[in-house]
Amino acid sequence: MIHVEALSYRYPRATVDAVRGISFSVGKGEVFGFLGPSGAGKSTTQKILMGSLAGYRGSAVTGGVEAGRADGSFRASIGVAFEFPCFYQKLTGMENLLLFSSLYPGPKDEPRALLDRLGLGEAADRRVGEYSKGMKMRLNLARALIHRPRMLFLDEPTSGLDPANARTVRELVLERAASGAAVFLTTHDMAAADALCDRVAFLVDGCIAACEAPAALKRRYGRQAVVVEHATPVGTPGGMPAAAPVEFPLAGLADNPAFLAELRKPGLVGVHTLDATLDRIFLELTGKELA
Amino acid sequence: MKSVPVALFRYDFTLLCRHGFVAAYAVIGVLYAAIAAALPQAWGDAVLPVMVWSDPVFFGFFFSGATVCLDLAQGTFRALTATPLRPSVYFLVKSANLALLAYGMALGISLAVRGLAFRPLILLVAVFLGGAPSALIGAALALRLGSVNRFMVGAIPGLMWLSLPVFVYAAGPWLPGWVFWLGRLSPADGALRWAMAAFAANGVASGYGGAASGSGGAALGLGALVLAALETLAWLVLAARYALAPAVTTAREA
Repeated sequence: MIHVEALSYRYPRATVDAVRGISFSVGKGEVFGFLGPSGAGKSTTQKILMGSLAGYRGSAVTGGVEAGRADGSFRASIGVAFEFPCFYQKLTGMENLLLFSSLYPGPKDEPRALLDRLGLGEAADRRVGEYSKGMKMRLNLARALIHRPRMLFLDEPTSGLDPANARTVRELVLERAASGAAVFLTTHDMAAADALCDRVAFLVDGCIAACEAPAALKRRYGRQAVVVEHATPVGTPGGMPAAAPVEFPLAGLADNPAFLAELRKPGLVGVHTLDATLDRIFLELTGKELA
Repeated sequence: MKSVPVALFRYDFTLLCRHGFVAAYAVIGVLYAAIAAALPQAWGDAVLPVMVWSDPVFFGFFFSGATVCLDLAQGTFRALTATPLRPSVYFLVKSANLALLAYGMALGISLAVRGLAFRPLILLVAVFLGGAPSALIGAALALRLGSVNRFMVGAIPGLMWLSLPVFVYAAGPWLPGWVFWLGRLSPADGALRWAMAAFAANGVASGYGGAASGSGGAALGLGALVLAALETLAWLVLAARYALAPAVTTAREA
């Protein structure tokens, strides 16, 4: 659905490229995470893919259309949730949704049902100016989804949401991906990326430092070991340290007598793999923090 | 896609109401009608075309710019550019709603002052000819300037340019030739001629004889009116092509 080849872009009057020869592709039904700190080139890339920014070098084909030649039918096939929800403050949530959905041809979701799903049913007839940030974020997603786009561009879709609403948003995004939509997710929230993305690309200073499935990255950059933890034995005098976790290599783990013996000890509270987190991998690969 | 303009019209008008633009039109309309009705007949006749012309030209320019500034401030312009909506349709809807309001106001003032002694269809043409280029220029300027505060300042030269025809109308014979021609080159000039035609007692007034001459003057032929309309349409095309389109591209990429 999205094919990017040697894409570069330099803003007018800038001395360096904001995006430097990046290449990647996003398939049908895939959730692709585009991760990087502020100023890495995420928004620039997204603007190019959405057909909002011309004058790039290389190729950016979205839904079979070169982004530089994006027209109305191209824009009808994409859904966009901007990082900062932008709505008519003096229209209600429902009015905003109906106004924007009227701009698209073809079948659409039932607006009331979509708002209900996102927990906005009761607030649908209130003006958006009265909405909290989390409510605007959910309305933002509803607007991106209502016309059933083939490609979704989501910028920090779970930002400002409580855990329950963040889960609803993630479920909706995964449902759309399961129904065949390609999802381009821009974020620096590694937990959201980990939960949602089939693949992630790390973008730093306009370049892609890594592009792989989160699980594969975590395996590659994590330690190939497990840790067994036991609770502090009952009756241990105060001030005594808890039992230290014991580490075992993954290789030959099933036949490791010491590991098996450790499992049989009383007070077992956990066995953990030592996968790296995406944050740590990002730091290791790029030398930069994501925030 | 057939229903796109209908929904846009509806919600754009709703926003004009909720932002208080409709109330502003109504208050000013009542004020204008009261002033024009209180003036002696000859003065009222001289002032009436300017009043109904000024609504679409000045309010069209200013309110169009203001609503675009609101769109930019709320981020909705950016959201709209990500949809299949053509920018030309968006601006057409804004211009048309403002022109409809201006026409309602012009009709109200005309009925209050003149009763039925005016030409409503010619008035309609005057209002749309006055409103369309003014609204496009106001919108383009607002897109370039990006905020209400900057627009308030940046709008002054634009308003002065648009107001030149009224100076020529009021004091034509006594103005230097270059001011006369500058006024004739204003995008609002053609609309003023049509506004005068809407109230001319006999045929169409030529105007530009100075306000002291009242609404009379030699009749302006249909050819002259068509020429005035074509001049305005040319301004409309120039404003859309060379002011609005580049401003939309710049705002979309920002």
